[in-house]
Amino acid sequence: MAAVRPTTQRAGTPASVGHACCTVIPDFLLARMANSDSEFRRRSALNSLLVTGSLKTARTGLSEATRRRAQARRASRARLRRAPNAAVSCNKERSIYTAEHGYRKPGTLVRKEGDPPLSGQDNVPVNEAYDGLGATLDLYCQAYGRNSLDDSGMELIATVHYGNDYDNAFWDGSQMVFGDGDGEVFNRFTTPVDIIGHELTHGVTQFEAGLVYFSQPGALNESLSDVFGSLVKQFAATPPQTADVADWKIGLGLLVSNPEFALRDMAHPGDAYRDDPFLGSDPQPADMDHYVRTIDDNLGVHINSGIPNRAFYETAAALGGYAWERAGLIWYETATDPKLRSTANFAQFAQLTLRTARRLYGGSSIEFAAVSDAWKTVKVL
Amino acid sequence: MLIRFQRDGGLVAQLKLTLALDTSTLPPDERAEIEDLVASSGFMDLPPVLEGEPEARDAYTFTVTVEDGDRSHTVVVADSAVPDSLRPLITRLTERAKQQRRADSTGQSVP
Repeated sequence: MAAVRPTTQRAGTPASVGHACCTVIPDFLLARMANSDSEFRRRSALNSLLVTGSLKTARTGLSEATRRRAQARRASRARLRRAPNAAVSCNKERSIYTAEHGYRKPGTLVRKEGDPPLSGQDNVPVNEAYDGLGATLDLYCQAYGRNSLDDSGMELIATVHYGNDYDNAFWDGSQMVFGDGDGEVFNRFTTPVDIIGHELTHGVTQFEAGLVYFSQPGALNESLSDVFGSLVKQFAATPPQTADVADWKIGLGLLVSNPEFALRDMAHPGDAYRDDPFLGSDPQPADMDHYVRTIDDNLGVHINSGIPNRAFYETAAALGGYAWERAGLIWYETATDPKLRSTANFAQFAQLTLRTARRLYGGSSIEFAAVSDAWKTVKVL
Repeated sequence: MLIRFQRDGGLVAQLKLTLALDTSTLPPDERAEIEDLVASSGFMDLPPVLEGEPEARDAYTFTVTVEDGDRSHTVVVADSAVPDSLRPLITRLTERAKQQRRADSTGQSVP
């Protein structure tokens, strides 16, 4: 499926791309470039970096508001440490809106916290979003003592029925947005709870390390969303799933072409889907030897995330039991460690997970060994 | 009128849509419809970059170039920043690009 492989380039350091991207391009030059299809495609891919604000965030670092929240969070965690027996209380405040197939956010409020499920086929995504937001809040609260996405009890807002046949779900920086799927490539986006956990974890990352959204830090941002999205699914399952029972797939059943397909496979990156009539085959690499250099997808954030995804899976599989308990705790403590920089690459993240494992379990523990072996398996360390 | 369109982003790689359209090759009613959407969007007067929320993740962005006679303009716009006047054109080009994608996957040509 060479045609659907992302375009690759030899040299593509974030710095050089960033420079090219943020230069104001004269109109005549744009017009000339637009005369070539391949140039238009290349330029469009780079433009998407520009408008998503990734580079702006990269230049300025965390916003002032985010910095203040992070400071408050660290202070509150310090208070918790002083009173280790204090019960963690988490705010659960969900509001589900409908865009009624338009593009206004948040739209019209249809179900707020404590309301009973709504009846009718049209309200299925409303109830799925409500439950998925709840499952995500529960994992973060019960497993990690985190009080909502910002660790300060923020209200969770989701908009469903966004657009017409809309084939995406996204985090817009302050709320969730779900399309109904186009029925051609995608089914309804509220169905898989791990997709809801994935999108909300983008919010957690925003309030914590603020990993910039391109290249390796962007792939780490994506991977953290897959890791905790999958853990939400395992934690919310009846009965809850241990690492050996979990399927480790993200968005299972979302692709119309085959109910067995998923968007990503954490245990076997590259095997989530094959020969889909529209998407082709899963482009994820399973280790650093197969790292994909591309200008598409913000320099491969949804592609190379397969590498840290598999490192988490290998750690969880080696330790056994409930993955959110030890592997998940090591990853959570790393993701919320003030030492994790917004521009961290895979190796720096891996080193920090080792440091966390040593702090939590000791340098000669099986947990430390499992983390170390996992990063070696994916050839990051 | 020549229109180039690309959609980037989305929660999975490979969702990119691309389209190159020469409206002079379209049936008259479709040509009129699309050229009207370009006109009613005020396309040539839109700013070249319309940024979305800086912390948005997994969201789409669109790049549209319109060449009309000796005039040419490119707009890069985040999904959340698409003006109401431009949305119908974006929706129509997305549909058309999907039609093209469907045709490519079955080896047929778009009517």
